[in-house]
Amino acid sequence: MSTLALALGEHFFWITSRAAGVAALLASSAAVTLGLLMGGRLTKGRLPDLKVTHEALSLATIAALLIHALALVGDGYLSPTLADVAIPFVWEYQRVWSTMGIVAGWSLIILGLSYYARGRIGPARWRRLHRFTALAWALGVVHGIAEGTDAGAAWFLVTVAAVVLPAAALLVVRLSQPRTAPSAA
Amino acid sequence: MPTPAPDRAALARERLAAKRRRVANLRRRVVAAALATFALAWGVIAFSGSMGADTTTTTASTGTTASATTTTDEAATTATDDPAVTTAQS
Repeated sequence: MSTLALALGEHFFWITSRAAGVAALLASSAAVTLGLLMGGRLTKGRLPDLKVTHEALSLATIAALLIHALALVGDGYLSPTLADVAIPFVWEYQRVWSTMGIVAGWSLIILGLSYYARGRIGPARWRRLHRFTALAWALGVVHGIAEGTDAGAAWFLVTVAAVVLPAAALLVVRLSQPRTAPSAA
Repeated sequence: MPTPAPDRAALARERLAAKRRRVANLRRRVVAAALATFALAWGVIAFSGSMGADTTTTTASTGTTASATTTTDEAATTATDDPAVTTAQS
């Protein structure tokens, strides 16, 4: 009970940020997995449902990322400023990994929301841009494993492996495929 | 007596409504799954008691001098936190 009391007290924002980071990692991994599956032949009949789920997971990722960063600002010990958690290279705390997380976060947010501007961007250009989501996701995974406070915990490693490995395998398969001429899809 | 031809507009409306229901259902499931993941992670982190550098929340070692001398082993075990702030959240 004392742990719970502490969690609800001085550690509330710290725990909230970490939990949101975990949720973002899982949701983004699931979104990337679905996105890669959508391009394959296995899911032809389920494409509309997959698209909806993929979009919802992307929005859930963005929400979790915002909570991850903003909750950290509320933490009383590290007490970073908004600039620390939003601008690369500003925060001195584990600068490389923090910056990697910030870059990954912004990339995922911008690339995710670019879906709603694809009319202006142009479908072909948007599709090319959308491929960078996988890179942003990979940066986020590295940030979580390298800097994450829970990275040493078995529950974290098992959970992350369960969602990251399938996505990574699909990404490797996709990248190893010879590029075909652009289709109508 | 011939049966009346099905109303195409009504059929289309029905299909559209069914599609909307399915989409809303999928979105609700994703939101519920995301919230459940967040809540579960929050609970696991809170109850595990690990607040970063120190192994438990009950370990009390605050103060800059203490952090300079006690962080070596802790940093080795957690391997994820900056030694400069290894007393964070203690």
